[in-house]
Amino acid sequence: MAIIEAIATTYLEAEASSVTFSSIPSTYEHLQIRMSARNTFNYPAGVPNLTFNGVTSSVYSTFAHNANASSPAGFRTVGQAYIRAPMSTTGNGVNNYIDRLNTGDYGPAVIDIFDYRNADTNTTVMADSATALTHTSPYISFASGLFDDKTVITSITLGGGDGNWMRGSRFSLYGLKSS
Amino acid sequence: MAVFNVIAHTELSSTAATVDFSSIPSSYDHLYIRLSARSNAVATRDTIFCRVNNDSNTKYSRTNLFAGSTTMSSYDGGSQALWYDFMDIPAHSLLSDAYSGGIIWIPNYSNTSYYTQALTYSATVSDSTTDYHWGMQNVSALYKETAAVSRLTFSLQTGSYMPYSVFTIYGVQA
Repeated sequence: MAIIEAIATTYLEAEASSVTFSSIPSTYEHLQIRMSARNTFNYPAGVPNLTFNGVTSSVYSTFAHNANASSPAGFRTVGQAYIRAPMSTTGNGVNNYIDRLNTGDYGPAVIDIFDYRNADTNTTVMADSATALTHTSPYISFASGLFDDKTVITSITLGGGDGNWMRGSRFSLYGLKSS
Repeated sequence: MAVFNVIAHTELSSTAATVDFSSIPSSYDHLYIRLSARSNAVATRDTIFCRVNNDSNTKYSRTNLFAGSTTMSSYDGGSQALWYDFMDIPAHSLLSDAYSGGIIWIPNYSNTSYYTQALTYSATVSDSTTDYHWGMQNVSALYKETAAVSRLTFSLQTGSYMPYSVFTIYGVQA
């Protein structure tokens, strides 16, 4: 029996404002999203929105440490309508930037969602992410987030934030068993 | 054969000072541990300690990268009796029902020719932006011993693990 199973994969053939995984079974211990994505952000790097179960009230917090070439720093925000994860996502970087990214640049991220089916605890996530390295100042982030709600997670939405997810972005949701 | 295999899983139904994985088989290539935990310490955060093979000799060292404010910091420690400050988790004085996530990689754990290393990723989350009421931590750890890892014992600096804390240890096949 496989311990890690693919629950669903979304590959975008066209721009999308968000990607949602719904009807997530409660048969796993943890969830993990692995993604390679690019966004229409009007800048080289941006922050998408992670929400659970369609909840958009102010029950989310985000904490992170981020760095680019020279400026490591901690970050925190609470009482938000979403988790800022993955913290660094490759944007299209047009107009305001002369160092436009290559059209083939997509950024990686791994988002871990712990103990998502436990109705006695809030839900915590951790997310590693980075922007495309061909940009002159790529970002790398290690972020965590809190969903201050004990409801079992049955759907996950990755909103595009200030932009849309671009064609060619890929999102896979995995379940990890504990027995 | 499956690449990931569950060696053991513990979900606490009552407080526990330690979580002990003994008799870890040497039949895998790597160990992968995932946890979601909270401490009952009367504090905002607590830190997980880890001991290998019940060995309390001063063979442990680590380097920490930490953010609990907008300024990041790093520090290290060597010649210690266990892995101190191994992971960061929320404690009693923070938002109730907030549990941390944590991941540990112990590569090549059954090799008897080289020292054992570990990488950890952990986070204390809350609803507070007050400095050090939250924390993000990455740790690189060394156990200066060539014995295969057969036991891992997780304790806490101050408190005990609270009910609903979960630990799963996976054996990863190359």
